[in-house]
Amino acid sequence: MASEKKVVFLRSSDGEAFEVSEEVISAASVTIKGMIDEESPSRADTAATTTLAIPNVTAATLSRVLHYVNKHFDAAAVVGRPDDYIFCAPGDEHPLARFDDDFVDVDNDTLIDLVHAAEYLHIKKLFDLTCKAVADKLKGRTIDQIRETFGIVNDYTVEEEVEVYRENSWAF
Amino acid sequence: MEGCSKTTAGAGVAGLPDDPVLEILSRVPAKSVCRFKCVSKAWRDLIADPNNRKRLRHAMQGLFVQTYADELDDEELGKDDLGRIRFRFINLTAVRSVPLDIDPCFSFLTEMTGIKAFLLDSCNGLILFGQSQDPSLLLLLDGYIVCNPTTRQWSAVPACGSREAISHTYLAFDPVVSSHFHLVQLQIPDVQENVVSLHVYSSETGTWSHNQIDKQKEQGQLEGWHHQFTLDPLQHQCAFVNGFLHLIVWGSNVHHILAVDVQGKARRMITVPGLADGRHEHNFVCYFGQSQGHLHCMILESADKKNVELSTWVLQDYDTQEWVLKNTVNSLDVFGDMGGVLEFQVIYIHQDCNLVFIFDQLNYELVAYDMDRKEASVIATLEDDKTQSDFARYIPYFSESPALTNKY
Repeated sequence: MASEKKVVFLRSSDGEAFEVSEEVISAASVTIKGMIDEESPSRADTAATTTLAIPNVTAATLSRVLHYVNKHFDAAAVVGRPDDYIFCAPGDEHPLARFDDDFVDVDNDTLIDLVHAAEYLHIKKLFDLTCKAVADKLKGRTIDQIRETFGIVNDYTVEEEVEVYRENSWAF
Repeated sequence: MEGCSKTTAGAGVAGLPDDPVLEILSRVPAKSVCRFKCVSKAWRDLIADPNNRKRLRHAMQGLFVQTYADELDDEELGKDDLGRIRFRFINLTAVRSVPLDIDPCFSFLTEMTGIKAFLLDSCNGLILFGQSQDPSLLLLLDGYIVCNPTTRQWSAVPACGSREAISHTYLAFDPVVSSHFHLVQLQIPDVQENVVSLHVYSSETGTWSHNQIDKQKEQGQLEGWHHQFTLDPLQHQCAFVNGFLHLIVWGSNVHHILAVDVQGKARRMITVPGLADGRHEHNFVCYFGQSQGHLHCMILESADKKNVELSTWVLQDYDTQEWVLKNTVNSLDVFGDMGGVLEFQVIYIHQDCNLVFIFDQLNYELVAYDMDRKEASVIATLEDDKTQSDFARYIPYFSESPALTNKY
């Protein structure tokens, strides 16, 4: 078919449009691939470029997501083995491990937005990465630190709190 | 931004809907998930919800290894087998993750109580030990210990009231089904004799059942099954799948898989795959267990002792008993040419992926073989334990169980 690479535009919830290779985003996002497949019969004979509305994701988050997608799903990139916990010995890291570490080294709100976006767009690798990053933030924190970090209100009464601490005392 | 997050019951955990929160919590190690019940009511309800237990069930994180302290002369053998038992732990989680908070030697059990125990079986987070007062009589057990190494809870189980000379005991536990465990025991009067009794212990009633073979009239394929089968002294592996305990029995010169329910009723006999083509005299079942919800059976074909073929079969359709050949690998691909007679033991297949753990008894190495990528890598060396080793999976199970009454 057409030799030049097709692109699509994604419009964020706050109205900004981002250009991305159709091939790359289709490989990355199950949700967007579905949207493109649905659109394709109607645009087969037109030269117009497709613009897809992504109402659940802001421009700030979407640009981060696309940065990740271009790194991980562009055919030119990505050699080596997927992240596997047993085979990931020190000094034997996945080529994108450093990129991934930096990618999720962001504040909590940004990270939570990325979890949302990865879930909505159905990008499994990004969802796994961001869930693991949130889990890492939870590890070893005290109960108070977790409430503070994620803005959670303690809704236990004093008696209830004593009881729930007692029930789970073995885990402290 | 508003309207962007679907909210469901129990939501509000870090501003996320339940599904990602469960994904996140399933990646949080050790006791943290239980501790997090104290954060808020929404967190508590989400974590405590029985529907979420399956999601929060953790993957295998390591292996307990049981070895015997040193080699003794033949005449000393058997004098104090239990006293020579040592435990160690091999951590299989990521290099970067936090260290696991577990007691590798079960000292909460052995040191606090003086109990001498040895590994028999493990199932979904619980571990079954045998115990004996007389250390020279390993075969004649005084009873059992079932313990949860994560919560350090344990419970003693008495020996079964009626005893034949040889018995195999299996642990059945699935927290998604019940917080109680069962032991299933098959007994034979002597080597190669037929199965004469089948008893079940329930942690709910705290008692062993009478012989279930006498009581039940099996129909069709299973009619009189116990007259045709004996136990293989070298094959104790079992798998708890679909609510039935599956174990290996031996009859007509070939292995079979017997499925029993936790009441002790035989439910079906499953043919072992890959042995039916007439050249099976060199083939045998070297591993049997559960992975990804399906029964797996590994068959060793050893026409030549330096070069064996390992086939992994999966019971894709339980009802039609349709086995599918998943992988075949040559020992040369896993171990290379070792120049000698191969000695290895398949320990486990990972519960969530196509990863097989194999113990190379010549080099004392624990090897992980990835069936998908066809790659093998050494993950641990048991250099200082150059004796026979037994293994039990460590799968953390964080809930305190009413079935385990003692706690350190």
